[in-house]
Amino acid sequence: MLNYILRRLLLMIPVAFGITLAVFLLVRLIPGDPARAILGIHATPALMAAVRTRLGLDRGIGMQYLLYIKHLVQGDFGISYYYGQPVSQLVLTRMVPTLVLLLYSTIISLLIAIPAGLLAGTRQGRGTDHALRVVATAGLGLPSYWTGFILILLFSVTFHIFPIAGYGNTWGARLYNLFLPALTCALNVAPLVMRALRTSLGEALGAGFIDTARAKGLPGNVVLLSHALRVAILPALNVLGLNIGFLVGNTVLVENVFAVPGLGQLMISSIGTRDYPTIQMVTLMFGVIVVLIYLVTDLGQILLDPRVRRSELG
Amino acid sequence: MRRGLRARGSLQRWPRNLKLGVGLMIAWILVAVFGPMLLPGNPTTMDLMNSLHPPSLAFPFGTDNLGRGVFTRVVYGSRIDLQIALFCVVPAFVIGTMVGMSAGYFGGTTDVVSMRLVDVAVAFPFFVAVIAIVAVLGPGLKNMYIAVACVGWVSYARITRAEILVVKQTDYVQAARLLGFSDRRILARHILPNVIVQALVYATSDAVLDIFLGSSLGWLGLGAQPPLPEWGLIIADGYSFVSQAPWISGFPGLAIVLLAVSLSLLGDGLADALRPELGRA
Amino acid sequence: MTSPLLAVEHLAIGIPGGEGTVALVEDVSFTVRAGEAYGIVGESGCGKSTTIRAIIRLLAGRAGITSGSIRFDGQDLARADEATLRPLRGAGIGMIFQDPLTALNPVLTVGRQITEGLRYHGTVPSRERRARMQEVMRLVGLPDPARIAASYPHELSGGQRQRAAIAIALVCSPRLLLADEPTTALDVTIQAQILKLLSDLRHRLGMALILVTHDLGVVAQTCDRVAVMYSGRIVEEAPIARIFAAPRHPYTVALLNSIPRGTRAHHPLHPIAGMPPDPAERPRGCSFAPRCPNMQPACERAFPGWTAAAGGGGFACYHPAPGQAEASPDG
Repeated sequence: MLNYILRRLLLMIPVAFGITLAVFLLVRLIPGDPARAILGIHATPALMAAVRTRLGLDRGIGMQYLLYIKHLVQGDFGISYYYGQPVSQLVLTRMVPTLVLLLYSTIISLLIAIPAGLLAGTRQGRGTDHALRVVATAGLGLPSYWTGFILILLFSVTFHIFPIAGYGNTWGARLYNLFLPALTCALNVAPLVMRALRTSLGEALGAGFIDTARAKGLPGNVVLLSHALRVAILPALNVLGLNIGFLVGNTVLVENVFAVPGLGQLMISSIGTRDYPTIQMVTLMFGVIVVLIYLVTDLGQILLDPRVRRSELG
Repeated sequence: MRRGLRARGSLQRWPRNLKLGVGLMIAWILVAVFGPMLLPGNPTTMDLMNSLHPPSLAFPFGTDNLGRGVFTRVVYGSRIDLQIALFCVVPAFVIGTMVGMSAGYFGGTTDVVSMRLVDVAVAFPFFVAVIAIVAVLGPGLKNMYIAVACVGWVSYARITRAEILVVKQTDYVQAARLLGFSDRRILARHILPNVIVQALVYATSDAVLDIFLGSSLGWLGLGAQPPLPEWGLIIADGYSFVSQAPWISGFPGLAIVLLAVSLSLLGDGLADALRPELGRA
Repeated sequence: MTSPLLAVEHLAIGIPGGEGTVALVEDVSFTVRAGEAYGIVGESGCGKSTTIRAIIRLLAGRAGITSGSIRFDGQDLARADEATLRPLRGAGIGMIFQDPLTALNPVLTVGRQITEGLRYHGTVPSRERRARMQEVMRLVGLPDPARIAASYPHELSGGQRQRAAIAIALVCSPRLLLADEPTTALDVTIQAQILKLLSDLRHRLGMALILVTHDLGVVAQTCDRVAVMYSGRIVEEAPIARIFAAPRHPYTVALLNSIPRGTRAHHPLHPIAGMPPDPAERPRGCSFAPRCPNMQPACERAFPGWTAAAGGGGFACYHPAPGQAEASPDG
């Protein structure tokens, strides 16, 4: 297993090279002098010179990239001139709410998708199934910043159950405050997982091992949960993993709807203030998060599916 | 496969979701083309006497804080959001299928290079990548289209490549190669029709994603700029009036949901209609 | 003679459809005594698998029992509810299926799948389950039980998988084992091993066995009595020796002629011309009539009644092949 993880990490090197290069080139796309773009029009000549040296602007583009990598490896992500603090510090504090939101919405989407998928999968072709599929299609069509609006209208403005915005100081408060944001993200992802589960459950229920399980005299719910669902959940989780980019993209919007102080909110506010070092770093962090989640998904598959375990670990 | 398509050409044999999807999309196009001509009002004319009117006969979706009819704005907005779908999907579709086809058909260096590019592009969430590019290029629809073209082709390339690898092994492509047909002819005549269908099915869900993206960027202030009646932008306008005038954000949101559902039905229906043929191909 | 372990009487199974019920199985009756091996033979689609799946009430899709009774130990399973059936499945009646590849859950260990039945039937205390599992695994000839118990199905060979499936079926010591084409999906050499295993187990455990197969050769090695099914009905039943020595129904005769067997190597092979009828479009009379060499006009009017034969069994035919010691059929 450790071997496998090491091998996977090695395979990530080209991707890491690619995403850092992409992020590096991103800021070079800005028309004009990068130092001027980073510092804004009111910068002093001394500060401009310092930034030029730091970025290696007097040298070739290749050297500039190597310099960028060197800074990254040293943990030096530059200074946010707007916030007046190192970008690394800024990004690290903002990463926590985003990761919490991601995990929270994943859990909520599974809590929605699994029962719904079970219901639809065991009643395929019947009324419940049709109704759930209609709801799923509609759920997929919900733009999250608008869903957030509707949930605020419902739970905050009308019923005063959840706050309109905010994060909180204690974990309890955070889970409470983040419930609506996480639900908003989950409403987009749950239909995808539910559809996948419905299909795979239908296949699993027709498989021979279900006959064997029933012939053993197992109760119906045991056959459904520990045999059919145990097998059918795997492709559904895979669909969840494949759509993690979509989920992450949604957190950017949802953080801005509910004023969650995460990476997404930092990204959008940094665009407003033209804080390019921060935009660059946040983009890179999103890339890193997604690549790591892909890795976690693959590891999860290996843990949950002995067939994959054998083909991957030998 | 083309034979299969023709066999299913008669309307009665279309799956129900395909009929519904096609019908709804035709309706949307009619609304976008003729709607603005039929409406008396103007989407940008302010009328402060009539601001924040709840829905009524004169203003079916109510009015916003500047007294503009939300219904009129939503109808005009359909032009912008359909245009977003089109302008995002078409370049990505063309670039992606071309990259995917050459990668899959020729293999070798072409394949390795383009697939490494794909690996990098999928590392960034689509929304994040587009927002980052728009951040440096500057807000606006045009820059958004450029950003989408930069990263949106990836999914098409993957789908096309995977499909090509399968089709390449089929007997008729092997036979065409043996007969000495040129690569271009084999690609155009024998491979393209099969592969395009897969990419088309994907394009419908991609269009949903692009409409989300376009309206989200509008909502964030990075896409369409005021006073354009882009739906995301209208929703953003209404955010400040969540308790006084929920209709401002509510109705354009419903429009997005309905358009997204129409496109999803079209895509699911297309996939359902083609599935048996795809299995045989 | 004591009352039979299993008595199936006038069993009919059908699928409800738009234009009335399509009958898959009609008027099937047979009995199986404790410890006896009973074979059911027929072409695919003749209703043999449907019949034994009905015994344990695991009919596929919308198929259901339309009439008749299935008495196991005096209890009518045809009308039993899930709560009554559950304790019987596994503990009273075990079942093994055709394809060992799909019959085992791919993501659970073999050991867990074997002990699972014990857990839900509660007959063996939890600390003894492992010992019982290993005992059964040795019984079915799985070497190194500890290792195989920790394995997943895809790590085992086809023969090992079928042995594991048999272990699953036997772990709660059922008195009747249903085997639905247990060797069809296996290599020829493995087939023989599995058949021998089933025979041995039956003798050692004193368990009754119903073996469904399309292969009369398999029945010859394993069973005491055999029923031949055609198009949803039993057309002949006989002790195993007689079915080979003196088949009466023309279909049985044709079936015997159509299979290559060592002892009949000097006989020419005669494949049966034609196809069995679609269950939805069965002829009114004898359903074998269209393919039958002895066909007479009467055969197409009504299904022939059952003619009991001396020494047990019987056949359903107006114009049977001549019996061994008799010139004409009685009755």
